[in-house]
Amino acid sequence: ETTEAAKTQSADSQGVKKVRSCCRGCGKVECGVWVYVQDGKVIRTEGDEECFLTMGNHCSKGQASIQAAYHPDRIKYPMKRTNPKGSEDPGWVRISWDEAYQTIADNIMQIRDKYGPESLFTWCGTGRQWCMQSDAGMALELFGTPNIIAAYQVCKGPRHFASRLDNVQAYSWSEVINHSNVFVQWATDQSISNYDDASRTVVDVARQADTFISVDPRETNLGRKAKYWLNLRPGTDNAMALGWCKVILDHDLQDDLFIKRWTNAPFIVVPDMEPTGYEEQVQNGGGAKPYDYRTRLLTEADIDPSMVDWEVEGDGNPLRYLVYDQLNGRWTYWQADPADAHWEGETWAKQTSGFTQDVSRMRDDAGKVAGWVADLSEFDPLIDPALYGEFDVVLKDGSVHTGRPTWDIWAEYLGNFTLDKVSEITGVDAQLIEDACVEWATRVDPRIPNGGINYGLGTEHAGNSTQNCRAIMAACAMVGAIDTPGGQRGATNGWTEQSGPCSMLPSMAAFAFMPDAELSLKMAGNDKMPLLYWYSVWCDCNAAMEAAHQEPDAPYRIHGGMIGSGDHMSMGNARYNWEALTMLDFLFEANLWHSPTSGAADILLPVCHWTEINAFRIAQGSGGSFSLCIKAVDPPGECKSDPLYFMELSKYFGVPAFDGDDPWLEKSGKDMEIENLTIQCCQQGCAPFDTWEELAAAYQEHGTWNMKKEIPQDWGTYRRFEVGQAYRKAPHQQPAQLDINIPGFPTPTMKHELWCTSIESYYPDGTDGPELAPGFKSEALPYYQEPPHGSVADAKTYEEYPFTCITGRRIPVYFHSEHRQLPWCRELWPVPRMEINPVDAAELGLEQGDWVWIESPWGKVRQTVDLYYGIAPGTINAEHQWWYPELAQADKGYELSCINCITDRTTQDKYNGSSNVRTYPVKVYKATPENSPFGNPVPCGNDGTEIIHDSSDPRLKLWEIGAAGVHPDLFE
Amino acid sequence: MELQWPLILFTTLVAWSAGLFGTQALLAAGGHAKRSQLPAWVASAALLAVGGVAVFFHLEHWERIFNGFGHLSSGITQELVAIVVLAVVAIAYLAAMRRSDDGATAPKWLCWAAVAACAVLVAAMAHSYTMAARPAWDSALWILYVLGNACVLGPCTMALVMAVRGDDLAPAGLPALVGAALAAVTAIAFAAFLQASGGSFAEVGYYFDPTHPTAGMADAASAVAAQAPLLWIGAVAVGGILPLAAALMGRRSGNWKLWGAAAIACALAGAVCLRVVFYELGLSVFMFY
Amino acid sequence: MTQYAIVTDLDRCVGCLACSVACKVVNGVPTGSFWNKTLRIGPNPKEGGSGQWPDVELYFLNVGCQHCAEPECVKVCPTEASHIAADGTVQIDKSKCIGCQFCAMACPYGVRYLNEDEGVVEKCTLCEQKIAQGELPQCVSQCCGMARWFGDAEGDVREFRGPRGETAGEFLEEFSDEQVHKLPDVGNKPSFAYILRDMKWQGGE
Ligand SMILES: Nc1nc2c(c(=O)[nH]1)N[C@H]1C(S)=C(S)[C@@H](COP(=O)(O)OP(=O)(O)OC[C@H]3O[C@@H](n4cnc5c(=O)[nH]c(N)nc54)[C@H](O)[C@@H]3O)O[C@H]1N2
Ligand SMILES: Nc1nc2c(c(=O)[nH]1)N[C@H]1C(S)=C(S)[C@@H](COP(=O)(O)OP(=O)(O)OC[C@H]3O[C@@H](n4cnc5c(=O)[nH]c(N)nc54)[C@H](O)[C@@H]3O)O[C@H]1N2
Ligand code: SF4
Ligand code: SF4
Ligand code: SF4
Ligand code: SF4
Ligand code: SF4
Ligand SMILES: [Mo]
Repeated sequence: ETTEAAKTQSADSQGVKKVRSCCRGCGKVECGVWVYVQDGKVIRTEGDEECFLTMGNHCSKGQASIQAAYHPDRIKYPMKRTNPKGSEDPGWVRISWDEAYQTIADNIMQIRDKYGPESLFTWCGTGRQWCMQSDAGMALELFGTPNIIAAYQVCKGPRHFASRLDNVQAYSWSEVINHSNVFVQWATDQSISNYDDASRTVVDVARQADTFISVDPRETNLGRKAKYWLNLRPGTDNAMALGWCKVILDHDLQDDLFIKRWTNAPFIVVPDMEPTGYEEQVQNGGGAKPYDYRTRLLTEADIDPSMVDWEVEGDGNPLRYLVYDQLNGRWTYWQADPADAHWEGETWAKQTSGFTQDVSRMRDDAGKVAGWVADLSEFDPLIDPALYGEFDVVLKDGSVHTGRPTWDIWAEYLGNFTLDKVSEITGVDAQLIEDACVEWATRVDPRIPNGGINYGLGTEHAGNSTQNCRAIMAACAMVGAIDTPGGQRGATNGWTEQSGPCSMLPSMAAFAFMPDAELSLKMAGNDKMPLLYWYSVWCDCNAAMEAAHQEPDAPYRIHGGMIGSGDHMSMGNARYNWEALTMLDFLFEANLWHSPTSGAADILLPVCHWTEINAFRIAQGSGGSFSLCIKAVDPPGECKSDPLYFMELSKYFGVPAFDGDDPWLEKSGKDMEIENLTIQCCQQGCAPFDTWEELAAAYQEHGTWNMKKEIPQDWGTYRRFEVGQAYRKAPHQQPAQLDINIPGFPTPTMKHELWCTSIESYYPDGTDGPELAPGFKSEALPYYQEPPHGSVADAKTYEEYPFTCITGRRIPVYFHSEHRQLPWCRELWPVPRMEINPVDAAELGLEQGDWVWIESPWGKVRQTVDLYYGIAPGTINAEHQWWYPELAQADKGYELSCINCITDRTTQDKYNGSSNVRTYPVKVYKATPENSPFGNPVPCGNDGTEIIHDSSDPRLKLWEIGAAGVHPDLFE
Repeated sequence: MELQWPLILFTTLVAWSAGLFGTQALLAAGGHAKRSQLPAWVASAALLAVGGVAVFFHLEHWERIFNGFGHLSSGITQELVAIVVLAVVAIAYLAAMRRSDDGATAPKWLCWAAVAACAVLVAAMAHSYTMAARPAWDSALWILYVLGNACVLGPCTMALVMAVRGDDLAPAGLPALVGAALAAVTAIAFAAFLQASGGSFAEVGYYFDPTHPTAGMADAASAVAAQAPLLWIGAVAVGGILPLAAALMGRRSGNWKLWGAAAIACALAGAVCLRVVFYELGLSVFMFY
Repeated sequence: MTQYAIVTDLDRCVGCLACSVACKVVNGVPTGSFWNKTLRIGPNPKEGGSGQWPDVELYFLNVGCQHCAEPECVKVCPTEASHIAADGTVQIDKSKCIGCQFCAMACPYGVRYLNEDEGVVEKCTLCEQKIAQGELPQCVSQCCGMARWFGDAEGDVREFRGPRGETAGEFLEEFSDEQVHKLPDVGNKPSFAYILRDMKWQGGE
């Protein structure tokens, strides 16, 4: 039954009504749209031109997504497999929801009883806000397992992880919508990806910027218009960023006041001191989750009290970080105690001096909401923390050591990243790097930096994501672009948390089932990557798959789990993952389709299309919007929304969905979804409405809300660390809290941590880091390492596999694996294409359109040649997550072209485990009848059926709305 | 552009038909080929009819041609008008023959009118393909070439008919030779034009059409190169030079049964080859869509 | 006189293909056929550059019926099925079309095709059903680069309208008349135009 909000929209003379909603053709941005409904069916969707966030954007896949809603091959009923795993045909038969729920609960609980909760996992994909239940929700509340596999581990998660290390989780996001005069697109092209900002916005920002800089190995669709194209060697972003840091330093473009007052750059590193600390708590995950905080930054607790001129109480306060005040020639301190944070002699108070943001560059009336920019506060009493120098420090045991400000060490380390050196590493012209960086870092308005760095996915996939992101963040912090207009300001704060209805059940009681610290420590991969526990968001996918694959050296075995909104092709090695999934005792999947992954499942649950669901949609990035997804039509067959099935399933696990004596609302007769939304938006959240219905009705009238206007004290304020609003621990997106009143950042030092004390705590030996003092290595500063499978670090393999393979630039009509069966999408992009420089192609005898084998030491797949003069010779760019829904086999032919079948699953970022899915060696050669199965260079299914490779393929017509379908489930 | 077989047949058969009718009228104007007049007329009409049937295969809705056919700027309309005119002339010609004493004579003015109508029809038909949009088609040489087809096919066919019917073959020799020579010259001229046409298409360098990921890039120069054998061996050597040689032999030997048939076969083969090339190179100026 | 047309700012077109799908959504174009396509032109070596990567330039070019002022397709149509409508757009009266496809041959851009099911030729109608209601063509209103603008080519391009009520003159970056290009004109006088500021326009005018 559609909601009141949808009903209240009046119909026109043809009976067509217009429902205001928010698109989810992808999961990346909240495009406001109009959904046109006639006779209970959606007939088209269009951009909502009043949505200030996206300027009325509605991309190809968003518009095409009605073909998903009414697709003849969509699954509409719960199903179970009747043939053993490994069969070409799973033999799906229709079952009731009750049977599905019961089977799931029985199997999962049985495995949990037998092998413990760590033998279970959940796996979710990306961005689809209302199916993240499988992640935080289902794993923690129903299964009780810490093993959450999430696409987030290879996507945005590493940036959020790195920014949580540095300052605030998700400050990796810069405020693109600010229309800054300098716009940097680094390892991203949102004109196609609509990544947290819509194509329309991004194109306009780039066009209007005085300077547009693209940092990308390829010429991109939007980057082609850049004033500076820093065409770096893949995987060397970190070196480029360190080069920028060096340029900033050499040109004296750093923001000294920000650095001294709000970063830990003036804190004193004592290299030869034993690290000290105390027990700290990880930021999220619920309950007490302690870890040992240990740092070589000098605190009051380390020193001989005689060193300082104030009274040291007791053993000294380990939260007091020493700095040397060169103005007054004495030591002083910053006290990083959230309950009483201050510089010596100061009493912290919210900054009141500031100015109103200039919004004249913005385009849009609703978007032109001027924020208030807090001025950087001055030291009062005036001090001048030393950034350079060597200082004698006397430790408690009387030993005398040399301490140096972090900055001094940083500046020295940056000496390794001169323009010439960076040019040598990255392959980019030195002058170009310098000019671009100077233009970015030189302020137009002296009060604020020009803007931050809008960095994207490409930084995360070369096996060195954490430090890549940290180096870029360091450049931003050096110029002071932290929570400034256009700067790194993180996830929008608004009326609700982010993850859609039901990232958790609405009941508080359900939290009782969350894994405790001990169980959390068992999360897959934590033995190798201990920061996973510290982060408490994902377990390592690869380690979980090893446990499922029953590897002898895995710490334990995984026996069962679920996948919802994700797939096995996204990270690690797809073939290995597939094998692992087929070895499980039990797996269930929620999807709209028979995906390749569902071929390994025992139970399939049919879920809703975005036009069939209600949800709140807060901007994921720094766009500042709040919109709603409105159920415009009823779902077909027995499809249920993901949140609904999660709540209903909870009953079978005996976990209360709602608080009170009627936890499944059976007696009340209330609609669970609506009730949940009311609780999440208006009770746990702070939307100024009493019920979902009121909120939804208001949305029809008002359209997208601007959080700068709605919560000026928070989202409408810049430099929130000055007013006590930046100290927001993870998860990053929570309903607005207007009275945090804690200065600085939620790091242990409460500063932006150029010197990362969390890494230092977990990696005290700093083995992989640079030698910062004789015999002293550390990974605490952002440091550069060659990408593990790049042409330098892995030169040997390149002798046989001479090309560097990058992957994943976005295909406009697809969302990862999604939409391959939509005629309007597939006809525009029938097959995967591999970009190659025409000079290389000529040498290999390849022509436009040829099928080629792309082979690495770990596998081979076929894609087609696209002669692309925008990529460097020696590099190819392949497409990811291809599969062929037209094939009648359980795995849907993912092995034919899915590029993650050829990755080395064991190379990962050392801190967060993100997979190395770009920047690795391959060779490329023409597919011929001789070297191809079935004597056909065109990929074929197991029975020899060719895939669809041409827009004229008649099978595409079978997928039109109302057509017969290629493999429909025909249940009578 | 894909090969349009109905049109390939149509244009070939019309040229043949008109050439034949024109030749018979030409000879009739000189008082020759009496025995062959009627059979030639019938053959010509039959060729036209078959051509007409062929062209209907190209139309999707021929039933609609009665609801609004007649837009005068259209080449097809002009062609249709020419066909109608020719049909009127041909019927008048037939009537005049039937009414004449020997059953094979038409007034001189009508003979010349028939020759003219034939030439006009062939020219009009060919002209409807000369489109600025298709550089390889957009040339008067194409019209001359199709006229050349008529000039070789008509006289050689007429000579063959005359040989079969036992007419005096002497008057057939010169038209056949001249016609074959014209055909050869126009074939060479148009082939040279086609060969050079590669340069007249818009060039955009590297490009990509997302809907055809497995196709190579359109490249007029290489398309021309790929057609060169068919063009020069098929259309020019077989379709131009051989008929000329055959006509020479026919005239010298008088064995038009053999040499006439040979000339026709070669000319037809050449005409089809050239039309294949014509379509293969019939790319639009902007050939990337 | 009116001559409705679309002008595309190629410096804003990002090849996102939203225009192609938009057309499908409202016009019932058969699967496998297209009323507009966005071609990638290049990357090609820049004039005066090193002649190789990275000195390359690239743009995207949306091609469809150009609603020519002197359309060849209309000239060759024997039935007057193809005709110029009062608003200057070139339309096909499907009930008159005999499917002879001469129009398709006569179009310099190859944008017409035979609809196999109906046996008639089709192409972009400039969303006649929408523009007649004062609305924008769908590929204009849904363009993700806000690259496409609709208006009367007899008038000023700067007055062309975009999806959110702005005009091209207000919204787009400056451009001069020399920066406004047309597809190769063989006498058909295309009325669509393309703005390309600082790259080489490929393919002649
Ligand atoms: N080589 C390479 N690999 C990559 C990348 C790359 O660039 N290169 N990119 C990576 C990135 S950034 C990401 S985010 C991942 C994405 O990886 P995934 O998120 O795993 O991939 P998707 O294809 O987006 O989604 C998986 C499934 O969700 C289903 N689905 C869609 N809507 C719903 C819904 O409402 N409910 C439910 N239950 N299911 C739904 C889809 O049908 C599909 O089967 O891939 C990563 N993998
Ligand atoms: N149409 C569409 N849109 C999508 C998606 C989709 O699948 N389809 N997926 C969505 C998701 S989940 C995500 S995460 C986003 C990602 O969207 P983006 O952040 O825009 O990422 P990509 O397009 O994968 O890659 C961006 C660029 O990274 C470059 N690159 C590759 N390797 C390197 C490198 O080592 N260094 C640098 N500097 N650049 C490199 C590539 O050349 C490419 O141009 O897109 C989202 N939007
Ligand atoms: S970018 Fe995503 S949300 Fe926006 S229209 Fe496209 S699919 Fe929909
Ligand atoms: S572009 Fe082609 S189809 Fe359109 S009006 Fe011009 S000639 Fe006719
Ligand atoms: S196909 Fe139709 S529209 Fe085209 S020329 Fe023939 S009759 Fe006219
Ligand atoms: S103007 Fe309308 S009909 Fe023409 S291409 Fe655009 S959307 Fe299609
Ligand atoms: S929608 Fe606009 S930006 Fe996208 S390809 Fe089409 S014309 Fe270009
Ligand atoms: Mo992603």
